[in-house]
Amino acid sequence: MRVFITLFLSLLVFAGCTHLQSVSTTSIPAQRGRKVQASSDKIIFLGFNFNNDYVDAMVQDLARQCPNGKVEGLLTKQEDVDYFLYIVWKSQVTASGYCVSGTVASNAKGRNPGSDEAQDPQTPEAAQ
Amino acid sequence: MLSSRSLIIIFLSAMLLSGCSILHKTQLSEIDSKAVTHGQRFEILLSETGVNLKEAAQIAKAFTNSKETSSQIKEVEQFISYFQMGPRTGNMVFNDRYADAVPKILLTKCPSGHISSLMSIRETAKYPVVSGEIIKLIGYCLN
Repeated sequence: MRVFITLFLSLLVFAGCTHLQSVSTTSIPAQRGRKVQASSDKIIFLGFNFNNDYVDAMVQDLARQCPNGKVEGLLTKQEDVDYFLYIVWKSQVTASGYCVSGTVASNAKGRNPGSDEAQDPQTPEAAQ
Repeated sequence: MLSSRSLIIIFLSAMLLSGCSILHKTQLSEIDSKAVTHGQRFEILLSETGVNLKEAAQIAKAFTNSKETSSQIKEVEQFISYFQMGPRTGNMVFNDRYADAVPKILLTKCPSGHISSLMSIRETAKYPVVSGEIIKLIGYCLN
């Protein structure tokens, strides 16, 4: 019984509770073949954190994973993982998206591929 | 050698005067790898002073010996709290329009308007009673 109580308490104390701080997303591209992801985190002890520069490297990381292309459909998630009674916690930012090459799959005109609206507005058919 | 009292004062000063940074929100826009490799990186920092009235009231209470004054401060603190509810990030500011200048500053930093890989960060630099409510934008400009 004592062992069970100890195990239960250990689980409570040492398991990391996560708190979602913010989520944001950009428009999802039609071409979703290649997924890219970057993550950045920092361990914070007793709230002593003097800068948040650790998130800056994510852009370069994502750009490196998608050379000569664009990263679209970016889902940015920020969360805190509490390890021990808010004495030690981890602040983590994760960004995941899709690498699309050049202008082919960017669907920049904001139309649904395959739908009737997919015609170019410059063409006479679309203008009618 | 420093006395233990001096060490405690230095430690407390370091704790009180150094601004702890709190990250509230991070948002990324679409990333054009060409802009990251060939473009020019820019950073915009907008800040407004935030005030933590609860902390101010606690400090005021600590400096008074009178029970009457202490209870009056508590009443004022409660009264103010009725007007501060709902989800928020950081401390309250007295000017909520400081963020409105963002588009204008972005165009100043990147006159061509070809901005990519824009990272918007909302953070607080926290000091005793006051704070810096910061909006940071990092992006790349293609000329």
